[in-house]
Amino acid sequence: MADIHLVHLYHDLMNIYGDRGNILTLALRCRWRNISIRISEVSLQDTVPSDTDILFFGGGQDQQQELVSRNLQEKKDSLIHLAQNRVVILAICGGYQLLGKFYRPHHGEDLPGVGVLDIETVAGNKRMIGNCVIAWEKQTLVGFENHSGKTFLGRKAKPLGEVLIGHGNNGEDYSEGAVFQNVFGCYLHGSLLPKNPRFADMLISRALERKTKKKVLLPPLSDRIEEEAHRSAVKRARQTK
Amino acid sequence: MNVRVFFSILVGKCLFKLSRHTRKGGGTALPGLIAIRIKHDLLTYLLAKLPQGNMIVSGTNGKTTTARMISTILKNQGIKVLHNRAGSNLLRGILSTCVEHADLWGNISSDLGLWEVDEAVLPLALHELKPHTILLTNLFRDQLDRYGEIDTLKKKWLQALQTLPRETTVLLNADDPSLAFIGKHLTCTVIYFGLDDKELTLPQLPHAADAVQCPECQHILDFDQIYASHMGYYSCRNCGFTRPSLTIRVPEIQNMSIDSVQFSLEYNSITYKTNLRVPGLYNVYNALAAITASLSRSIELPDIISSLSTFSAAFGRVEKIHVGTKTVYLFLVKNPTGFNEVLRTILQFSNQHIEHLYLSLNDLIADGRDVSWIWDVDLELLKSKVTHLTVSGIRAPDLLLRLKYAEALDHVQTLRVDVNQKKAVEKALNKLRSHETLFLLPTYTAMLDIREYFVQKGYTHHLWKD
Repeated sequence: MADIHLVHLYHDLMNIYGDRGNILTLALRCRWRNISIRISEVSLQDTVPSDTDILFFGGGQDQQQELVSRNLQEKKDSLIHLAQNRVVILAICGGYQLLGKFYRPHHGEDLPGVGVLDIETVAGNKRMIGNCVIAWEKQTLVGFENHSGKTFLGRKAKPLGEVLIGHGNNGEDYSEGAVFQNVFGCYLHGSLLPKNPRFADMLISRALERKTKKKVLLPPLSDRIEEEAHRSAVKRARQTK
Repeated sequence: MNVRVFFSILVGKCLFKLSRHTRKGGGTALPGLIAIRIKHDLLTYLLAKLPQGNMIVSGTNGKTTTARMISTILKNQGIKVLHNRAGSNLLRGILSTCVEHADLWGNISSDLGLWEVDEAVLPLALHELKPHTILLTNLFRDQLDRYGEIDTLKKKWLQALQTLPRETTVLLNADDPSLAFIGKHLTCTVIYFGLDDKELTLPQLPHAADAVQCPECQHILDFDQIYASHMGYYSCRNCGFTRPSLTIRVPEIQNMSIDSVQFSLEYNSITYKTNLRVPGLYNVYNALAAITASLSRSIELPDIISSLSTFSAAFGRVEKIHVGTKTVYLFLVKNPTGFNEVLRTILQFSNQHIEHLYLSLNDLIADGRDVSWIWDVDLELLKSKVTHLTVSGIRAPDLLLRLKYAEALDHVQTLRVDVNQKKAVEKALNKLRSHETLFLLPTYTAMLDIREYFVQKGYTHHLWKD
């Protein structure tokens, strides 16, 4: 049995903006440490495996997001079940919005979400595009945001970080992303995890700790290339803001 | 005489001379920008005078090469073509071309306007240029920060195309579901072209594929054949949407090499052999599009094919530069699909082993600020297949990281990372022994920097002379 079962939700529909880099990063950073990892792709016709350890849900185009929102209602219960069992969930952009309570478009009815994050998203008039740097646990996370939806956090969700450069959740309150227990969502493409290896490792540790019920200390990897990409992306964000 | 026309052209022409003189980029956009300040409908005014009207080429990939192919074919027929050549494909670039070629009274001595148009500008261009023919090559994800999502673009295109008069002709790549969808909702004449070679199919949809959903009913499409990205033979089992039947088709592609490709072409039940002096599947698509456009101008197929056999590529798209006994190939890469196709082409040419490779990633406006797209490129194809690798460009660290997670660095013997483009090119060239080949794969502005280096060294010429 694999140490970690990584599930890529709607890999075929919610796959623009290079979010695949997150899957590669989780997979390789496990493999480099001899942590065995199995990856399953779960789409419209599939059910969410109950033995999921990490679930990733990326961003998509508006049309795909509509379809996914409808299909998601069939998977809602199993996703809530995973979240309640502290399975690690990471969602980006469209996936992040759909983990919330709803997405309210300019016209028509609300697209219902899963509700494992206490967030609401409403369509905005201005697209928030650009390099993005946020303060996270005394470090920085760097990525690229491209969204028009404005996300507002309810009382049960905490922001993932504070916006240093960029727009963040809504362009108003300097918050970016949301966290509840082991559920993480944010707007950072880039891909997020390759350039933010400590965040990636935190997700892996949490997944292993949940499974083994023991404190996990991951052996360090040589992250010279990752750190350099992080530094240069932060510098570029400053130059282009 | 129209005084405003006179002055707007006069001012535009002066700026054109001035910008050429100062050698700031060949003056492709500014003169038009200023001229239109003086007379706002100058473009429509000038183009309405062309006796054979206007043709537009748009799409994500291949529009520059396709337009150049069409231009070559038409010129060989003695048609005087006015064409925005240097890839200046916004309205101001088109206007600058017109201003350059018009006399002060607003007369242009050309027969036909051939316009390569940026995909975001297409709706506006249809309105201003009033073309009789529109050729659409494909619709891929490209610079999402600038163009938006392809679904949005598709809707905007359809709305704009639906306003065209019935006598307009629209030529479409049927292998692209988004374009087939557009075609099915138009009332003007629609002609489809596409590939039909079962040998070519990819084993699965690449990561860069976009249009997996049926554009009519949103059900997932079934692909019997995949040629590149989301292009192929598709059908929807829910609503019956399928690839339209082809008027002009390519039943077989043979002998792909680094500088050439041969294919057969079927039209009116007759099959013709075609030779291209540019490589790759994407150039077969470009040629097929150009052939379809030329047929719509009533040019005979044997004449078209013979013109195409003399065609060489547009600057930087695929360019072969000789540096003494060394050879350099320059391939522009600007989005996941194009990058994947270039990787496949050069790997095939080098027998699956590339001795010298140079990759460069910039993030200026023309490249797209967002570099996330490199994670959708199948750089895993390079795993243990490169000996000497240079990584350059403003976002070289990002590209290097991508290569690490593609596990493409593991077997590289020498790795050089340098954000300074010219130094990096020089070092990479020095590493080459005589008769060796270097492959350079830059994004758009990185390509301009690299070309600048080769121009300064006298190995090639400026792009606006192209």
